[in-house]
Amino acid sequence: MSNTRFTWQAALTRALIGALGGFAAALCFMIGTASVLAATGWLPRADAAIAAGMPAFLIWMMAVLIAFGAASVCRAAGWVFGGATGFALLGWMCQHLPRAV
Amino acid sequence: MDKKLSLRQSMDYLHTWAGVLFSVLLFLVFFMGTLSVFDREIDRWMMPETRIAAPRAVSFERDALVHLEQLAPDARLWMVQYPYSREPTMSLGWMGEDGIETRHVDVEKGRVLTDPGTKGGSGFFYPFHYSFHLDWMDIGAWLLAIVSIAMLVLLVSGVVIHKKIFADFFTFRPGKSIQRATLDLHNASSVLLLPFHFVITLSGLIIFLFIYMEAGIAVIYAKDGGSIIKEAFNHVSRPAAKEPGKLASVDAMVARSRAMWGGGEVRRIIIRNPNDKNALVEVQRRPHDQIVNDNVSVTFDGATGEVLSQQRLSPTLQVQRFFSGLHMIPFDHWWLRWMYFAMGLVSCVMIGTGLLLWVEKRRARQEKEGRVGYRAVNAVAVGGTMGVLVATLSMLVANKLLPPDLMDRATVEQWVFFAAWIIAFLHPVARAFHPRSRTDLRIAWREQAWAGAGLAMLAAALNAIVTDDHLLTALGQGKLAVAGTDLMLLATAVLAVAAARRLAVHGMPARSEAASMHKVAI
Repeated sequence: MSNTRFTWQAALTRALIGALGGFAAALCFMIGTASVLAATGWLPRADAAIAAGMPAFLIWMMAVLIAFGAASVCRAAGWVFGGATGFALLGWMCQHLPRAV
Repeated sequence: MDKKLSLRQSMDYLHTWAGVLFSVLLFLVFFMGTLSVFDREIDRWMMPETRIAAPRAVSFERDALVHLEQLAPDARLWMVQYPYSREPTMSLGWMGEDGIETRHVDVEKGRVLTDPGTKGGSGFFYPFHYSFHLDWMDIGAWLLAIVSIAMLVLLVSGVVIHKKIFADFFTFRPGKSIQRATLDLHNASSVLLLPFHFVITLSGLIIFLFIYMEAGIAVIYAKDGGSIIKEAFNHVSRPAAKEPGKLASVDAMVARSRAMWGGGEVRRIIIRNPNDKNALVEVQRRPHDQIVNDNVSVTFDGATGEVLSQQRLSPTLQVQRFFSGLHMIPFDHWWLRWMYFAMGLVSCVMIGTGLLLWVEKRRARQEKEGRVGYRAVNAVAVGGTMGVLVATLSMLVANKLLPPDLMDRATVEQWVFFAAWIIAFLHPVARAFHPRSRTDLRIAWREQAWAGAGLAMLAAALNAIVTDDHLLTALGQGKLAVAGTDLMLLATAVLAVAAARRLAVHGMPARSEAASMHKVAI
């Protein structure tokens, strides 16, 4: 058994980042990836949503692992929410840029 | 203050605490899932009237329509489940005022069977597996999502913290102390079935993709308000015309569907607005010869019998349905079904031994410090693992003891399960804090193992007495579902006795030995 441990506040914060932030990241990944697949014409919209939705659960899992594996709570939040924001921006661009062009 | 831990240390922490927090729910999901592998066979055991041979030929008009017109002439929806080897009765369902109602039909005798008075394996254990019977606002499904993500995290973190993952695969020392054997069993069962654990968990999440990713789908479809179900499944729907209509021959529609499929059997027929001019008949194929859980349904105009659409899944959706089939085993393959059952049991062992390790690793230190956390977790482990088995067996016993004409019999049976489970939790808690038994963590395990053995024997004996289908009769008459369930009950009894006797001989270690285990454990 390892004697090392997080404080309960740090553990709770990391768990929330992983669980809630991870879910947000998974949703944003799905939206971003599906938007790219649909916008580029690689897949019809329904297929794009399903194709992106399946690996989204792995993003959620990875977010929990990153939340606990990161060197600090701030870095954990940065990785998870930064990733979510990146995917969300990608989705927004794919849904709105073609109209602007 | 947030400490800086190495990756292995932080994964160790995550594995330990996610494990102890989620193991009871994980055990419940895996145990109910394991039972669900044979849910139809458990149905036969719990519903003696349905222990009949599957009919050779089925006609919708002759075997279903006559009964549906009597039972539910005004229903908005009829559902007819066709019989097959595992489910020999035809199941009629309709959307009534109080929700979905169902009846079983003995096709050979042409009669509607009386209400079985039980939800059986497919109505109780199977929904427990994916919803915990918490249907309000899909709470159960969301709880399952959190538990499933926890399982994936536990699997990956477990791999990261293992220094000798390959060596652990071959290490099992049952002759050593009970703790060392527990550690080996946890490691071996985890490593041996790692791909199964990962795939079964991920596929479970993918099945519910349309629920869990609903918010994301809504964003993707926000612009034009379209429906992913309509687009992906080529789903046909239309409102009732509110004018009376007569159904064309459904048997002819079945024959046409079979020709379009190029063979195969009907799984289910769904009729929307049956006595309306706008009736729709959907014929679904049973995916008995493929992993992809695809119904390939054909939808007909109910009044004219004209084909309105044939479902052809896109390759992407077929991947999703492949994961669904991998998880739900819709295909006919007994060896694989038994393998799933065995692997499900090994998963239960992995989860249970993980919980035990937590207790053992902390026992010496907490005893020394006068803390009781390990005793509480041990009590939860007993109630959450052995307790589930005891509750399940209590329900099977109640299934045979409750009078057939008891009002709300199925609900009473369900309450027996929950009452037995609550008692199975209270018992180890009482043992943990009772002055005479608190020093020996084995007592609660041993007593519940004996209770499980007794209940399993009693259930098998009651089945023989109440239904006259004892093991030899069932085997002789080819009622393999009944005989198999009886054999499983007897095997459970033997294993429970063996566990109880082993717990009586090999005690939990003395304090010094437990302390040495600290250093050995992962």
